[in-house]
Amino acid sequence: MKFFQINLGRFKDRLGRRGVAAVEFALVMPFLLVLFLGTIEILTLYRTEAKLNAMTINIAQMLAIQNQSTTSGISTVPSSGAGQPSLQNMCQGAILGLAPFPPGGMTLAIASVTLESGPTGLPSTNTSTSKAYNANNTYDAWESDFTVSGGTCNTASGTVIGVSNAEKLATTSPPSTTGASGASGLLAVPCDNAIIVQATLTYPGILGVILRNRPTLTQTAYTRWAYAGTQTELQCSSTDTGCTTSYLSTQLCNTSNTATN
Amino acid sequence: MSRFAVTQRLTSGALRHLLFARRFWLESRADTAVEFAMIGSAFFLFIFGIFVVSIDMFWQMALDDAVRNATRQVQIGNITTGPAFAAAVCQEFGAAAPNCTGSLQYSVQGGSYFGTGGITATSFSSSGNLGSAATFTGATATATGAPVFLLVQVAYPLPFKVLAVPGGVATENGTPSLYSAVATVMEP
Repeated sequence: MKFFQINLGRFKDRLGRRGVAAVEFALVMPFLLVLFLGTIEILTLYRTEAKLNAMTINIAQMLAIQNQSTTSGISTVPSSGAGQPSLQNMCQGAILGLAPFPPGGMTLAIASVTLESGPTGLPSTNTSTSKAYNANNTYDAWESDFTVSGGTCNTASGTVIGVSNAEKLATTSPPSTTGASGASGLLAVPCDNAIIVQATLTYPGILGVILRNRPTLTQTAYTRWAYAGTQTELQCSSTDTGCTTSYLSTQLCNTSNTATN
Repeated sequence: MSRFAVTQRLTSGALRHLLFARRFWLESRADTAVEFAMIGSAFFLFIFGIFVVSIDMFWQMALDDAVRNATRQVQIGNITTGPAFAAAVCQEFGAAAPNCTGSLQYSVQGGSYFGTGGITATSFSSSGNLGSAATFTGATATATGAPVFLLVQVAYPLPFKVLAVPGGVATENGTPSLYSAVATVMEP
């Protein structure tokens, strides 16, 4: 009996120590796995954001460098249409640069603001009788929006930024829709231009395990039309249904303007 | 053989096995080695997965940056040929990844618009290859007027197949190649 009891004790002891490492490993593994997958997810999120940022800047640059259908100094960019450098075509091309991330669900807003007249004139004439003088800034502005579905950019109704907000963004520093407009923004002098491109993409996620709530990435790029001058303006036609426009009845930034802005 | 003898033989045989199993169960030598063999393999597989993903991610970001910089050179007219483009990418990316010059596939296309008749994206197959491995066309800027758009696609097949985790998860595009693309416009 004694012999049996001793052996049972040894047996129990051995049984108790076995698989300790396996149990520890099983306890730690879930945390390591979450850490590992989380690292991949965050890195992919970071790269998606970097890609979106680059894409937004590239669209702004595509628009900034275009100068087509020019009449009396006013260059008119079409909002849609394949086989030509329209805004829709720029969107269509730019999403190729977002690869390998799917552009589905992305919202793209393209706006342009031109200062028509204001309290600051150039080069030297800045009196109340100057053609481009106005105590308050006056603007020409337009916006064209797109949503991407199934790899295609479709013209969207409504405006994400809003024409009046675009005017605010262009004349405040740092750009804000609530700040006080002044000469500190992008638009310092009459006929100066600001292009605002805003892209919004909901991060699709790679596994859907770590990030349960999909973060929405938004990037805004500001630039200036490369051909902005005292007698030029970038416009989207007021008859273009893909654009929301707000133009002044008296246009100053064109070739028939002989005044010194 | 008597019935008693058969029973005795069976019992002694079964007992022998039972005793052996008991001795094996209670044997404690090399316990740690056995556990290490079982858990270690899973653990090292996990560590190896971290290595693979880290290398792929690092290369991917290095490639993204190299392609962006080389594209900028194309935009401003510094690079006008395919080999020069590949050399510019590999000058930066090749410092991190092996055999860049030998395995880099690229497609640089310029055109007045995107889509049929203009710039159409070169296909990127599920095996990780570009439809055309060395394309460089139309990337010349016009002085003024309509823009010349630019689409740059680059694929880098991973040098070791083991780096392409099944399903291409680590490359983020489902193929055994790293892929980077930039859509932009030529400077006038």
